Amino acid sequence: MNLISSISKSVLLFTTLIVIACNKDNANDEITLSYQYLADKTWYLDYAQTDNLIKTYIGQSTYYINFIKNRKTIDSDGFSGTYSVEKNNDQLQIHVQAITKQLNPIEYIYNIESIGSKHLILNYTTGGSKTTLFYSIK
Amino acid sequence: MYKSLLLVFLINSFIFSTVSFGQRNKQSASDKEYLIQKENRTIKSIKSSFKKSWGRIFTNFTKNEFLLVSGINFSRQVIESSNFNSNFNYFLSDFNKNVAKPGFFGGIRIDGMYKQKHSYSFLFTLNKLSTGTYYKDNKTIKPIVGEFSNFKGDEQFLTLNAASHLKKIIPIFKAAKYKLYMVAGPSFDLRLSEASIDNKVLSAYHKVFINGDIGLEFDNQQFYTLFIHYQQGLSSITKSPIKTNINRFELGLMIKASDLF
Repeated sequence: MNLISSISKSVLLFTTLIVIACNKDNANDEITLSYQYLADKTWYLDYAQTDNLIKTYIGQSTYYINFIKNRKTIDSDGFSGTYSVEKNNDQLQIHVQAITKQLNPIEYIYNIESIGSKHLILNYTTGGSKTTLFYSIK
Repeated sequence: MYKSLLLVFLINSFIFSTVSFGQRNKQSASDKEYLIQKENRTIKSIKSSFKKSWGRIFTNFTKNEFLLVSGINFSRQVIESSNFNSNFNYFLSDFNKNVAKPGFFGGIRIDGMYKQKHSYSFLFTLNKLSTGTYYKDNKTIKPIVGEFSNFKGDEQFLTLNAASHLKKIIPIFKAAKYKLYMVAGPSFDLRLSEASIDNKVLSAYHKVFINGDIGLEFDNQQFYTLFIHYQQGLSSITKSPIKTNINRFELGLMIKASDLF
């Protein structure tokens, strides 16, 4: 009986410690983390896949886009503007609002399929066919 | 005339300064003694109040000795995450290292007898773990070349470890002054450090890890005890469907607190 009492006291002590030490981890830092991986890098297009057709751009002059830390962006086509990472309907997205070289406004949203420190996979759907873009840093 | 007056003044000043220095010295020595006595009284009162409360709570635990523990540990995580999906990719060639990395720990231990029969120990340590991370399985993202995971294990942890061990003497030394013990028992790690931002997003880590411990302890004439413990993670430290086991070796030294205080 004494042993049970001692053990329950120890368990109570340990549980109290757990309750004191526990602080809930923030479960919604996806956007912050996405910015962290995306920003201050130039992303080069390696592959573009539409349906089952894969085009490779490795070893060739290819499209690139630079996401700067101050939320500005510029790409190899000369489009410059701002970007933001958003989450809509549980889907992470990159939202770009830019102007072309001819000063025409352009806006597009790509879904983030997968993002990491070296590889970025985006997709968009037009006319019922899905295009997936595979970027990497050099 | 002036010279002799100046000389008298200098001699007087010297005598007074010497006397006051001596008095100051005596005063500081007595202050020091008072402070040491006060310090000893404080330590003694802490010790006696701890002994009293320990005796009140753990009535069947007798012959208790209070020890200080410290040492280094070598930890490794084994991760199975192939069933887990997220928006984040981690290129495994950057992270997959099947090695144990060194950390350190320190804390206190109470050794004693349970019901006058069984030697036991309660161990409470703060652990800084640096772990190697070994990913047992991987994913590919075609057409990208390489292996990926959607989960990246944290490599640094600060934990509070509480262990309860039974001790059995291994009778290999004839001389009574050396003793070799085998210890075994469960332990719990409470994660005190925050998860990295990658794992805050996924809320991947549990707060408490359960381990099974086994080890050897060499007691050198009660001057000090050297020990080696192996801790095998019994529960996954990550939430389902990611399965992560952490295991570690601990090499350490224990001395009686009464030898120091």
